[in-house]
Amino acid sequence: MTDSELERYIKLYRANVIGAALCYVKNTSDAEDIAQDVFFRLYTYTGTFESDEHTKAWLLRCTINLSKSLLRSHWYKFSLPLEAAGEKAHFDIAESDGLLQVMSRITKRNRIALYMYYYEGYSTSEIAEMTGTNVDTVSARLSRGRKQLKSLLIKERRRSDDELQRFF
Amino acid sequence: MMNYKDFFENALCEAFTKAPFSDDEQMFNIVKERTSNMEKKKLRSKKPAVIAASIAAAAALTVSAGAALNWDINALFGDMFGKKSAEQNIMPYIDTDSPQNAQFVAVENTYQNIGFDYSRYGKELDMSYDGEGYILNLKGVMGEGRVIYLIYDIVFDDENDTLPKEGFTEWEPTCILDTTDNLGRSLEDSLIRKVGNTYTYCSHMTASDDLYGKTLTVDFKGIRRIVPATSVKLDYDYTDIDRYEADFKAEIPIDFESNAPSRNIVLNEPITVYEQQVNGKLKPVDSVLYDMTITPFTCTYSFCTNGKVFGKAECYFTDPITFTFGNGTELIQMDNMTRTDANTDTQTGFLEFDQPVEPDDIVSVTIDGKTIPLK
Repeated sequence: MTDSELERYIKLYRANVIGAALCYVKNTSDAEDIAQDVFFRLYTYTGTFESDEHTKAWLLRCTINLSKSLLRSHWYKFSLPLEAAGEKAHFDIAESDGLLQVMSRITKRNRIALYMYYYEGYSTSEIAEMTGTNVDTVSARLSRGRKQLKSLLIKERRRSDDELQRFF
Repeated sequence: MMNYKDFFENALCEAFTKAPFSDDEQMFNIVKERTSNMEKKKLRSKKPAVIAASIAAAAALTVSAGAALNWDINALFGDMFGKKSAEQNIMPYIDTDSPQNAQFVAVENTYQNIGFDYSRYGKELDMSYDGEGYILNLKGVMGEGRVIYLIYDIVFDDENDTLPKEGFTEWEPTCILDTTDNLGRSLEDSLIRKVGNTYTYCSHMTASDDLYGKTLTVDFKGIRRIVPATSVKLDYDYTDIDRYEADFKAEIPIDFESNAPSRNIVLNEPITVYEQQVNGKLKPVDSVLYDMTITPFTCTYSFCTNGKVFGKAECYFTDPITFTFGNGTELIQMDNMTRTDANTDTQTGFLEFDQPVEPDDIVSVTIDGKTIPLK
């Protein structure tokens, strides 16, 4: 892949990759690390892509796989990100407020299903393929995710956050 | 009405506003720098250990076919129905109020099929893998049509601490089942028996098409002990510790004969199903139950709703479905959801019985309080 192609894909899909990573991890520094890994893999990938959509699907699938690997890794649970040491502001989305916190409280599997379906616009069969599960499971996760999000928003509504009020 | 796309867009806007992400140019420079340091990165990675494990796996794997074995397929599979995966077991400990845990509500089934002959639907296996700190034995495979069950046990070395830690813990193998033609799959690992340091598991796969004649690939990745997450900073569902890594693959031909009896009944009976709404509520919908196909392990059923064309990912619930047998006993199946993935006027449901049945013994089925005799 050429430098200009990499530059273009970062410009096009950096936000999508970080968004998908944020569905798995709980802090922005891990999402950033995953995004760097994903684009590094893209840069060193020797295959070809049929279209931008194909590239995007590849990037999101790679993001999901790397996020799962990170969560499974033994050291992940016991290591602090570099940012936490004070070099750079570390931002934990679970400790934030507003919509971001609500998003972080949706069960992880449901969250990625909702994100891929509603935000990225993939079908249940495409999500099933990307996440290594089947269509019934994805449909169930969408259904449960909607219920969960609704219930979380109702709870958060009491905090009279203007941003949250917009969804009612 | 809530707009989910807007929700995620706004949540991500918050993240990008509040968090110090690299911008496009920084990201580009980081990737370029990493590429130039790629060789160093490779040296620091854990891959050599995995390769070593892989070589050890190849050396340790033993396979024999048709040999006289010490285990009995009926005893192996007899205990496995009704067991939950480690993840399912742990969910109620995290959030007992969550609607997604409604499925864990126990139902009182009076039906039992103690004398079921599992050997008609599978075969014994004799494969083992000598991992670091444990031995994995593949013992039997069984199934029919779209479902496959694989039984294996993990024998931990005596010096390993397999006792539960404080709070709830459970071992879970990370094992992936797939078929060579990459059919859709759904997998669960359930602990079905524990004797001393020997943990017996069943991995269960549901495919989107018939599995006979295919080759089942078992990709055994390792074992982990999962515990509920204790901090929202970690994983919200559960976290894992003490992961044993492995790189073991085995190929199992699904070549045993399909003896499963299949009973197809045309019904054309009016029923009420429940549509899943965007706001999470269930809306009753009048429908017509077309037919049912019952096998020892599964039931497939289809219905339509006044000529309505169902959209993508529309979900309907038909909970509970109760199967009544000739001797008066009942098998109650919960968490039955149907869905469509393309525009069609028929919804299809597929459920796996909590325990195997004799299809011809079922005399009626009850859906949402309405009993339909099966003739």
